[in-house]
Amino acid sequence: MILALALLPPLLAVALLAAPGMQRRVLTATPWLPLAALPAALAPPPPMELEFLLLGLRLGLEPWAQPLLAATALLWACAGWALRHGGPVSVPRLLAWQLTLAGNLGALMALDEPGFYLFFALLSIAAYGVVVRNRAARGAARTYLAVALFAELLLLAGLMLLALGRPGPTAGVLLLFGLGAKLGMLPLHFPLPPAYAATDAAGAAVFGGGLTMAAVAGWLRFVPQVGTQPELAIYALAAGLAAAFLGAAAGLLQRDSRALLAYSTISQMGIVTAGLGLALAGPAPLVAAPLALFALHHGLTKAALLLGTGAGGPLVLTGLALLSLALAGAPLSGGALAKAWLESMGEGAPALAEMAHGWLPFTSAATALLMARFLWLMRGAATRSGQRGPFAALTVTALAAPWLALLYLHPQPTELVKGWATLWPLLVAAGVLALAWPLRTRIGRWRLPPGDLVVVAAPLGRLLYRAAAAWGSGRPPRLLQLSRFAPRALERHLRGLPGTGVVLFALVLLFAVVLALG
Amino acid sequence: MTLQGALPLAILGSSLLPGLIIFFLAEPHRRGRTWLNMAGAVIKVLLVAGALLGVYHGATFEVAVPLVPDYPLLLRLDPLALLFVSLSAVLWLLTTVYAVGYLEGSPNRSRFFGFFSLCVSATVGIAMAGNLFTLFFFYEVLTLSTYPLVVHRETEQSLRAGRIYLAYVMTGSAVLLGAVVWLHALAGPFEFAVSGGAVDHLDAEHRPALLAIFLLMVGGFGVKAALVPMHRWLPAAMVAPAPVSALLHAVAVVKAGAFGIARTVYDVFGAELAHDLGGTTVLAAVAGFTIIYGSLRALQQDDLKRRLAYSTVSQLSYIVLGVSLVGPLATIGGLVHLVHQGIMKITLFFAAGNLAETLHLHKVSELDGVGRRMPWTMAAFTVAAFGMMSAPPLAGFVSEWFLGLGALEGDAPWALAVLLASSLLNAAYFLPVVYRGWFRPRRGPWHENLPRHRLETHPWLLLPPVITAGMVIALGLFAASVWSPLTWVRLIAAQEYPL
Amino acid sequence: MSGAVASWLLAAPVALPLGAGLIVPLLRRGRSLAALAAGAGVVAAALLLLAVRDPDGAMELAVGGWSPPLGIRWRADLLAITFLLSTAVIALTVALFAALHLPRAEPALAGRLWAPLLFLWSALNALYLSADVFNLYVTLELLTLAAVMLVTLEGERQALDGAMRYLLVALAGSTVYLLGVALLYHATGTLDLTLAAGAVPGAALALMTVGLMAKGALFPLHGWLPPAHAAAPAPGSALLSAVVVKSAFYILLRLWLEAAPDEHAGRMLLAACGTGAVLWGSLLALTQKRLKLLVAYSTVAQLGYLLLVFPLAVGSWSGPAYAGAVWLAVSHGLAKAAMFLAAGTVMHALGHDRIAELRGLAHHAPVTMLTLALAGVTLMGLPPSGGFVAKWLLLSAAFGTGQWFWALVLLAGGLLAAVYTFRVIGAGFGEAALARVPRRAPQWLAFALATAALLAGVVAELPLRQLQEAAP
Repeated sequence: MILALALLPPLLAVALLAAPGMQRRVLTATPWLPLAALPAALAPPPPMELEFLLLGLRLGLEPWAQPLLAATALLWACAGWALRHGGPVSVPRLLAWQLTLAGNLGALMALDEPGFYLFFALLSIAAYGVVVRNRAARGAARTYLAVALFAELLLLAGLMLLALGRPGPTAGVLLLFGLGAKLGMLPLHFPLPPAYAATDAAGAAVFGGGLTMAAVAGWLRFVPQVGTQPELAIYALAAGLAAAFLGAAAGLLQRDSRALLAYSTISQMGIVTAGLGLALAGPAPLVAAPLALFALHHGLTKAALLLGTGAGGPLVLTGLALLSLALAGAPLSGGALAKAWLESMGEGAPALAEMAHGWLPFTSAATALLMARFLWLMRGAATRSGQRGPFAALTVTALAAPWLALLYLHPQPTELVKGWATLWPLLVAAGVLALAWPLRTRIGRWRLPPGDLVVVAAPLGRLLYRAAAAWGSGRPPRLLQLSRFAPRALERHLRGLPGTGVVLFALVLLFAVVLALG
Repeated sequence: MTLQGALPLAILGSSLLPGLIIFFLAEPHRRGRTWLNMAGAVIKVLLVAGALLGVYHGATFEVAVPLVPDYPLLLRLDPLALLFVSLSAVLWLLTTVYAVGYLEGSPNRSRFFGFFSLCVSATVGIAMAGNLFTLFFFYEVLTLSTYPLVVHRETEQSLRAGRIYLAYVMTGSAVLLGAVVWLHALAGPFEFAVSGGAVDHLDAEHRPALLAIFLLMVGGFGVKAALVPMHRWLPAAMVAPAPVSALLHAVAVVKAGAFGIARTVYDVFGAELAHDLGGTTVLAAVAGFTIIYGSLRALQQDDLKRRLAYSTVSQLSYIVLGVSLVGPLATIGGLVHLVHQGIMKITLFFAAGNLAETLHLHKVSELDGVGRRMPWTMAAFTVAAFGMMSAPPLAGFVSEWFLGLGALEGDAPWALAVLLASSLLNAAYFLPVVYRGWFRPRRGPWHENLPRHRLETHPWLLLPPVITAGMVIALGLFAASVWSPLTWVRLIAAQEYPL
Repeated sequence: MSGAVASWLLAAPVALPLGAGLIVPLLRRGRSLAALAAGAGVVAAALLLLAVRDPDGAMELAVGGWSPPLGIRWRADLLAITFLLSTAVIALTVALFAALHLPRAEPALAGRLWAPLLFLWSALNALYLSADVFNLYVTLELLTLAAVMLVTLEGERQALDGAMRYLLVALAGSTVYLLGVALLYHATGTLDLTLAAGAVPGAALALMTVGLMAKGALFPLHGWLPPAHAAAPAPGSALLSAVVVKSAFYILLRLWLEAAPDEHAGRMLLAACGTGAVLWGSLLALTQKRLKLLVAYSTVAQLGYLLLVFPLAVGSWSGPAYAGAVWLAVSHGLAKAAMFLAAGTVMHALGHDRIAELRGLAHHAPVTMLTLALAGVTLMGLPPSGGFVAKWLLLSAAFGTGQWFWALVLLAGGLLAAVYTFRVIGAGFGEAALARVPRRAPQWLAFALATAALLAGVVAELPLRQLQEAAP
């Protein structure tokens, strides 16, 4: 019951929005609505089954999912607060906001395949409405929607295979890409940066924070069911590491701060992908908690950073700096703890794990560089009062939550505190920065359009659509035109008396012959 | 005449008798006509409800009227029959309400409602048919009684559409008749089998003939079921008034074709034999092609009703695909889609009819901003459109879920790819309509066709789509509950594939 | 069954119309009443015959007490009774129609119609009851003369042309037929069909068949039918197309199924001619500009169907094929009569029968329109009509005997019939005024005939079973 109650407030808000004039009240209530999920996250009941709903809806929370739910609820609360103070919100966008929230919460709680699909599809499709806040955002939102629809179909196929009891590499690939599209898995990552850039801070926060946490939850809930898949593992590992580095590199070349953060997401989620790959490689069952913690830390931190892009001023900049350090894995930060725990993964495939662990610190360095660029971009942002409160709240949550979650999930958290191991990547980054500083103007001129591949993919998509729509305009075939003239002439001959006489005679002969022979 | 026998006849008569009486009612007798129509529709729904309860508890209802020696007109209420009958009965009631509102002030209403009732009678006759003779009998009566409805408006375009309709449909029935009589010549008179096929006892030497008969039968049924390339009559028939397009060409006629195919595969040949012959493979390929082709053509249409017609062509083949991918899950998916697609499609046509009738809007490009003027109509359209895109928790998702599982179970992953691609195409041709209706500002003033009501349009035009949209939501959301069509279809599948 | 009553019953169908026909010219008024009374009597007699029928044999009457091989013998088996009854129903309805419709539409004809009609009816009934080939010749001649009289009733140039052609072809046919009769007598020493069964020489059969084909307008000797039937007044055309031409078929049935049952190749030839009739007749019907000509060509096509029974009535399928053919003849008769009567109404209402200008019919004469549609349903062989039931049986026989080619012909013919029927129906929509408002009662009579053709599909089971059992 408590689980279902978490979903109730946003759905009620949707219903209320149908009545005219309720918009302001709903907007005012928006920051409070997600908090209904907190009781479920903190004191979860056993899984419940609503057999009459859909195809038998099962709601429940694994231990690793509880902190994620709590984090999601807090994230949405702060983002809602920012939304409220961020200027006028149209009814469709508010509607989409509530539906996305409902989808996000539900996706974290849904245990059965159709139910998860329901909520995740709701989440990703309604997110379109959150992104498209004005005309300028339409292009980016449309690209996002097209890829999201495609990814939903992959996800559906993968879930169907699981429901049928046929886990295997096909299901694994489908789930990986279907959910991974939201996490910037190459090559489906290209809608994300333009979408982050096009929307406002609050929208980007839920997009970057909530969506990613839900997608990772989906991975953790369903991918383990495919069992040990060595080839898939290697692919995931490679793709993840590639994303980690390429994402950071592409992010360095961005001018828009939110697009940069999108690339940062791509990069960080690459680490999760790699971790998932490690888990798939070995025979040991997947331990989801480290990945969940990482996702939690990343989600909150990224969301806070995104909220910060909407605010400005020296205080905010300080907060952003702290968050950046956390993201890069500075000692004692949540990021450091999460990464440290990740290193314990991969017991089943020690060779791969060795390699992965070698690369991990360098991703921290890359992140540090990226965040430095980010802070540079944010240095001149103007103060916007209404946004500072939400930003502060979320920052505090982001910094504290990983610790709290760790206390809940890990038997001995203090093991994970490492000093030097987390510091040296930052120093490497500082060094690179120092070396590159004289060249900063020249480097500063390098550009990469947000979304990189989108410059090719979007026109291609439009071309295909237009081609399909214009292909062949058939008209129904003309019904057979009977040639009317030939039969009439013949008939006239037959009809005449001479004709009849001839036919009579011939027919008698014919019958006589046939009867004689037959 | 026992109760067991009287019930099927009563179900048939509840629309046949009012129809025959309405023919003789003069045009101005509006109230009498409406009263007759509604009474017949309500009685039919009540009778069907009774039959559902009865069959659920194991009763049988059957009646045989001797017609040709050895081939009686056999009406029987088995679970599959009841599925189709209940769909027809409920939708007939709603469409009658809609038609009364739609045709207010139009000429020739007695003729219209007379033939309308005949059509529904023919449809339930098809549903209740217990042997091929009866099925064909009512199948042809359906053809004959739908023609006057297609040409109702008597314009040159309507008459042409009527000619195209007849050309396709009568050729299909000639082929069907030949195949049916041929089968009886091989197998003697038989009824539809309860479990397995009626002719699956024939020896292997008849196999080539059986395959030919199978293909001819599904080809003959396939004309009404709008399988490519026999689908062209459906978009042409959209010139008919909206109630006709809604009930008949989106539900009754096309579903009769799909139903015929289902009966052929399950109760005449039996799923196993049909599969062994290879007929289901051909059928699945044609269905798959139709699904994609129909969706692509829908993309090209600017006229809203034509877009919906091609969408019907595509969606109907979901049912055929489900039937031809032999296996319990695919069967469940195909048969439940029979119900779900009917309800979703009728909602779309009701909404399209409202837009045309109230504001003279026929093309997609004219729909900008109409959501503000007619929010409930557009809301119903939106719900149904999302259902067609197989978005959970709507009805379309449930059918697609089972069809997909069935495709995987039957080792035909290509079918799953076809279904998913079709969902994407559905989004491509429905989302623009939804987007235009809600998110674009309107272009100019509306051409108000009807006198203004307090509601956005005539109440009898508004109520049916809202109800059916609600059903789309309910049938998906509560699909697992005991009263849903899904549960009933599971019953049917359990009978067909006894373990 | 006591002898006197039996002979009365057998004699009545011939005597009543004959008597009335002789009286009618003497009457000044009340001609139609006399005709109708006689007609009612015939219907009653036919019904009684059906009721008292002996399922295993047939009732016989030796006219004048003289028995064969010298005297005339009349025989009423199930086939004869079926044709008697259906002809009676059709003729009575047509007569009623004429009584109601003609005084208003064509007053000059009103009085002149009855005598030819009654003579025609009497000859027809005598034909059905005849049991020997010479009798059949006589009745055929009488029938032809009465029919020609009906065609020439209107007196117009076209009618006279058509009648002349009819007469000449019919006479040529009769001559050929008579030659065949002579050959038969020479070979077997008897004229009686049952006695001569199995011994009919091929040449005789050929001659008789061709003669009958000429009289019955069976392809390719059909050319005289359309102009003649189109030129006759509506009641006349109705009878001509519905029952008169069927008489030839009736005799062919007797000849080929009872008298000469083993001639299989010949049957194929007959069916080939039937196929030609179906295709050619339908094709020409499509191209006609006048409604009555279209209906006449439709008759040519439908008669072709009937010829298909011959190759199909073999082995265990002879019962269903026979029953199907007979039922087809009955249903077609009802439907064709309805169509011609409706065409008469159309002619009266519009002043012409050009198909391209039929607009307004659906609105102002909906009953007539519906009659045409329902009759068309029977012609197309669609449920719920008698035509469908008959088609089902014939198709079953075709597939059952492995002769699927004839099945194709049946199916194709149905489709072609659909094309020309819906051509007419489609032309009647639209809004236009009629020249005259037709009377309602005649329209309902035509409608009743068309409905009867539909009912023939619903109540068919018992008659069909009996026909199957009675099949030769």
